[in-house]
Amino acid sequence: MKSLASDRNKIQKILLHTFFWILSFYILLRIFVRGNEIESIDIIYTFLFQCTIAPFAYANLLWLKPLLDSGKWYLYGFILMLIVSAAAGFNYFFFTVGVDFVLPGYYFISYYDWIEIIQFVFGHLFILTLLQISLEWFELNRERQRISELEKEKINFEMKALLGQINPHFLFNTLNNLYSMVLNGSQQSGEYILKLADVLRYVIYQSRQEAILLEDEIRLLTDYILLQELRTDYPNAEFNVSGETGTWRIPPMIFLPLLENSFKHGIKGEKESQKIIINLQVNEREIFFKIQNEREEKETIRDKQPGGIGMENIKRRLELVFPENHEFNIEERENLFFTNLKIWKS
Amino acid sequence: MLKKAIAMKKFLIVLLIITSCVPSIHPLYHERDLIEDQRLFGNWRNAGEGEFWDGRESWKFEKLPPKQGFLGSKTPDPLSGYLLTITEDSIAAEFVARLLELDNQLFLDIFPKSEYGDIKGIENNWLQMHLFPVHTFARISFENKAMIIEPFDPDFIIDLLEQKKIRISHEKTGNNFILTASTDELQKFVMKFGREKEAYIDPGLFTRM
Repeated sequence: MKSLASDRNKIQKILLHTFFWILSFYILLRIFVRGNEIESIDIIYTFLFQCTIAPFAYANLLWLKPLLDSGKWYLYGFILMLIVSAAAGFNYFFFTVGVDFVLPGYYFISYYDWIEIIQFVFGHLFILTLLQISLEWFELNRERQRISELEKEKINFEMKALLGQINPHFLFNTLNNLYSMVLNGSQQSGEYILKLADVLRYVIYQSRQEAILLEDEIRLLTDYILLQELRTDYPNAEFNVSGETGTWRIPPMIFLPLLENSFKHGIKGEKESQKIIINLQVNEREIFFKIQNEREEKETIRDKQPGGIGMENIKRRLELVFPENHEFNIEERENLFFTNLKIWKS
Repeated sequence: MLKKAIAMKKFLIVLLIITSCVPSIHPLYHERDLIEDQRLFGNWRNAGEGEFWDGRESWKFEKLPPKQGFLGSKTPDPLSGYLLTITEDSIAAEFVARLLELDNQLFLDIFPKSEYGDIKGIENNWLQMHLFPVHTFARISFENKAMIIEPFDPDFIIDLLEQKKIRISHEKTGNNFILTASTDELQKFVMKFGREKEAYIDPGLFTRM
């Protein structure tokens, strides 16, 4: 891809420079023509005139313009004046002496004075430099666009990869729970399976969308909590939602990994006293998502399961989807964990 | 009737001299280029050597008379120059000749005096309206008390113009060419190619009368 783009740039550059010299030839010819009609000698003269300028014009582009790019304006201006003078001198010398060796039998002189030749040379150098700057600007823009597309592709790829990590993790957890319930002959296993089906529908279909309604994510969290409560046979989570959620759209599966993490580390065994408190506050500009859960002694927030989502994955995903408009932190006070996530509209 | 015939003959002589060179609208000199050479003054007779010269011509160089000004006032010509009277078979025509040096060579720029006004016999206003004064150029040198005049060869320039091998401003009307190049351009050509022998017709040798 890179090589093709590079070839295309080269071809465009060659075409543009060719066009410039053809246009310059036409304009110079119209200026140089002596009579009413264009004679062959006018064409020869115009071509030779261009030949005396071209090497200096490209010397300016190749060796001098980098000085301009690096901001050395004074040095560039000084050397540019030298190059323009050298080009004018060469043009004068060529048509006074050199042309007789190149084209013996022809009678040319240097028809213009120094000031006029300098104007012709400077005009060419100036327009060619502008042309080069425009070309580079277009190339830079194209490169930026390419990098931006690559970044987007990379983000999409990472998102998919992260989602791919989350989904099986949740599924395996839930299936493990279901397996336990069936083994225990629980009456509620049917309801459990239906809720699981709802959650899976969400995970499989809606999680592929770029953004979903906040209300759908809330429904997912509610179902998930219910599934967890069915598993433990007693209510151990309190989920409070406040504010207007209607207009908010968010990327799918933003809150579930945090909740999943809290259940994983916060509810151990069958302790009825263990509670998870989830608060979701929404206003027009911001969403506050807070989880408070107990933790066992010496428990760390780091996910120990191989292939699990882990807190790093959660952070990474938040950085990808809300690069400039989120705050995420975990506080630990005594035996409590506080997970805080704030998202705001940019 | 006789007067008119003489005037027409003088006019034809002028035309002959002019058409023996490629005439130019612009002079070969700037004011700063003009010089004086005392050797020119006096009467010179052509020795009649070469194809172009037949020995019937005499050239007389004098000081330029003052210019006629408003209400008969007379002012000296501010530019250096000579009153050149060319006589052929007793028929005289007056010119203003300016001398200049380019690339260590002397050149004469010859221009009709008073733009035909003093040429007797051409008093018809309608005829004068149809004439345009032009400059012709010749190289000049001195050798053993002789003066050598070498007008530019019109065939040389016309051939180059027709073969498109010289790039000099000009106009062509019918078979006639007239140079329209500026003085600067003319001087550059003379300086660059003024030593080519082919650029001149046979040298005309003039001795003092």
